[in-house]
Amino acid sequence: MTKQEIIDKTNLFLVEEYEKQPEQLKPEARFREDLDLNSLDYMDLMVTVKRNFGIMPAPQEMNLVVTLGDFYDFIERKLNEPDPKTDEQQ
Amino acid sequence: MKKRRVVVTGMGIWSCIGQDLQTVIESLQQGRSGIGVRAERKRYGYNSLLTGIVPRPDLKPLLDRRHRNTLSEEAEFAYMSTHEALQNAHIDEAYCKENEIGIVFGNDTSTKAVVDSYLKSVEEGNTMILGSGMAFQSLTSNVASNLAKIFSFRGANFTTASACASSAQAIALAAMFIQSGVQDIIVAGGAQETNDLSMIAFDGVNTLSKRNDDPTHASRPFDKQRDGLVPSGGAATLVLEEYEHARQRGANILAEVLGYGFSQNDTPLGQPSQDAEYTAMQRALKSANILPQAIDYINAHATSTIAGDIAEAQALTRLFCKSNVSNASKTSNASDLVQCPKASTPLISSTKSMTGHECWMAGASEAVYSMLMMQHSFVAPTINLEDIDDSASQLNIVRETTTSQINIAMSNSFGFGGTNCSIIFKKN
Repeated sequence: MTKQEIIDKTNLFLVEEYEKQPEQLKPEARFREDLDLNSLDYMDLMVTVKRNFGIMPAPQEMNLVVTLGDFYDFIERKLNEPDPKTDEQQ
Repeated sequence: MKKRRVVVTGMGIWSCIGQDLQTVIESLQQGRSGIGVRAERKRYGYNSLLTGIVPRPDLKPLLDRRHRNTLSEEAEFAYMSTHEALQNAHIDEAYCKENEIGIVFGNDTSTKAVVDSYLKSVEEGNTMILGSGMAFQSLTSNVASNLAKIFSFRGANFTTASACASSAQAIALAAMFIQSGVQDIIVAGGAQETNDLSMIAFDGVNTLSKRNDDPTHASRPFDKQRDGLVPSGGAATLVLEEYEHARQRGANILAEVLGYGFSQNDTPLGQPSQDAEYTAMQRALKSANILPQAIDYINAHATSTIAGDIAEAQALTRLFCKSNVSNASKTSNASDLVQCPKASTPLISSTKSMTGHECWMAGASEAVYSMLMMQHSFVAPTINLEDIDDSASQLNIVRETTTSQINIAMSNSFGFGGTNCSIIFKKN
């Protein structure tokens, strides 16, 4: 998945499910202060990421996300992490 | 100290016979049933496929995601009934923010959230997959806590859980809080989930009607051919207010909560007790400081179960056949009573014949139905009553919509766990 595809998919669920305005969705937008996402929303975002990208972030990983740009990078990094199961098989 | 009086200044309803007060008035007047069939229940092993058909509200235009996320099915219903009740009481968002309002709501289960959480966690092997909403939805107190958050109620917040007496107790407890000076305004009500999981255990103990091929005739309180209750649900909300407070606010006073009475059965769980039901009604009369003859209308608990309807009919017969009142506690059988003319008993109906048994919500919804009848001077019928049970033969049970002035009404709620509550309302 390309970075742009990650951005588009993320922005889509932030608009449709989390009811954010498209103009709010700038990479520098801060989750808590600018996008009004609290700790419970973070728990829901973990589930949304799983549903959309097939990866389940850990709560401590989500806590490192400060801006929307961080979030895109985080998803990209997780998607590119080697699958431990595949590694073991190799 | 002058006694603080409690009045009703608003009400709202979301039920299978209508999702607003006006539609519900029409349904009550026309004797319209809200019962249907959920064929999907076959796959859970239900013997009864019957249920009140209660639509889920579309909340997206009304509430943001964060508020919707923590609402159980029954809390969604309660949001709608409370929204209408506050509008009916002319209480807006600004008033709620500037004044302290309490809430007491009846709810005894939130089954779907609990079962769904379990199933999904097992499937995924990870509880994190549930997200944040289920933790709140799983609480029986989720209705009261969600409503308090949404409407900015900052006063006393209580949930009453006593099966089918839950929301009658909520109204009575709210009235006690107002009488004692704890609050001036309390939103009181009840909510009941209708999903396929909510009543499954009740089907398992053979309490539900099996008239699957004839849903609108399945709930038939006091009829000889009744074969069990029909589960239903939704939500109903009353705005209760201290009388002087309501007057100063310029509120439209709909009725006064005149009295209430509680009791607990001394019988095995699930078995009704006419003695305890009689006691609850007697205590309500005493609390209201009125005699039985002052009651114009009774909204009976009468769920259409074999044993439950007989016990209530016997308790009502004892209460209203004056010559037997003094011997009441010794009397255990309606046939022991001397005859008393029907004219000496108040008009009685069971709105459950139309709505099914709205369970945790029933005390509140039946208070709303009774007050709508008061306001519009009619008694709603007990539909499907064709051949009256012998135990109710001395009672004035209304079969057709009847024009009648109702000044004082009593509403009975008798819980499956043996908890009884009767409430008396007086027209303003």
